Amino acid sequence: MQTEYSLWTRDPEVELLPLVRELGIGFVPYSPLGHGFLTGQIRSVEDISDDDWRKSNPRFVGENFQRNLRIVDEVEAVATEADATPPQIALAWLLAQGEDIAPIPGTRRVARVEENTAADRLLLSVEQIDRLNNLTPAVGDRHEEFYMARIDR
Amino acid sequence: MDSPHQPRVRSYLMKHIFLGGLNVSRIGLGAMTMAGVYTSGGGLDDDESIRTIHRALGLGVTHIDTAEVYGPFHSEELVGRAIKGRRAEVVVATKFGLISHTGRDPGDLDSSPASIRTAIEGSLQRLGTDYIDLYYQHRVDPRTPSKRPWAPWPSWSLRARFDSSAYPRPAPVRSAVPMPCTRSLRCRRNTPCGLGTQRSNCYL
Repeated sequence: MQTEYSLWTRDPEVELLPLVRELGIGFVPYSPLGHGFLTGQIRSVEDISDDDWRKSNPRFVGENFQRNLRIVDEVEAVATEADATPPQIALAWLLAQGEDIAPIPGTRRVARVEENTAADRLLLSVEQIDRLNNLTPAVGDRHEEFYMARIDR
Repeated sequence: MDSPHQPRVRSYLMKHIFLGGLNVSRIGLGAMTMAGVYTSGGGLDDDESIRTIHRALGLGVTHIDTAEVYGPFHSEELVGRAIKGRRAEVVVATKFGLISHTGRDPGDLDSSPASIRTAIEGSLQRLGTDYIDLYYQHRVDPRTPSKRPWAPWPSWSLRARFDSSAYPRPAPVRSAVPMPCTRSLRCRRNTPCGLGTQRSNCYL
């Protein structure tokens, strides 16, 4: 079973994750780094090129984008404390959600795959996980309406 | 080609978990962006993408996720090139349903049996393999209803592949699963499941 699940998309916790566990099946979170947003590498809408579909994603536009940066700030604070990088924190938090979760962070760069896989060895403290659990919720829908209507059926 | 059933002996560099019957490194690699799905950023670097997959394998990643629609096709082609000769090391997940192979309008969802058959052929060819470990239905196709919503494409279309003499056993698709499936899972909870959970047309 594969769907979007990350620090800023926690919808599966309501129904899907409990169902998956009840049925004893695995869970593959996609976009575990929030389409790159949780890496802290995208700091301004100008960082996104015009041919990039994120440009019109509700979470990446206008005031939503600015407000969602607070989430990145909070993740970065935990990263600094844990001597890790923001994507490693986002992945370690996902892995801490259970032994039945296998995220698939996407990248096309060697350096990023090295960074991402190192999250396997990162153990967050209870207090850090607690802080991450209480992040400011994301502002904006996951996708534009047309795409959303097709996703969870 | 490599058999998915051959015993694998390896020391795990990374923690592993089970997705249903599939043993995977708990951190996998998504290959969507290699085809420039967010942005090509002024051009794609296929060599770096392949180096990235090789580095992932070297670091203990055994789960690679792609889809025919990524590119389209380019992501699968890169994965195929990268895992050539190393097929048994990885669990390959790919997806069908967002491209119509039966002439529906571009952008129309298509999980008709004919479309799935063509999609499987294409994915196997691009991935350079004779089996897919994990085959997701990328989106539910409202025009292909199923009596069993937890397996929303007609199961015979996959089973036909299993029984086909064109393929040596084991089946070309080890596990098939609907991807967007709150409703499917709800249904499955309330439906007796008499089918196996490994190496057949089953569900993760």
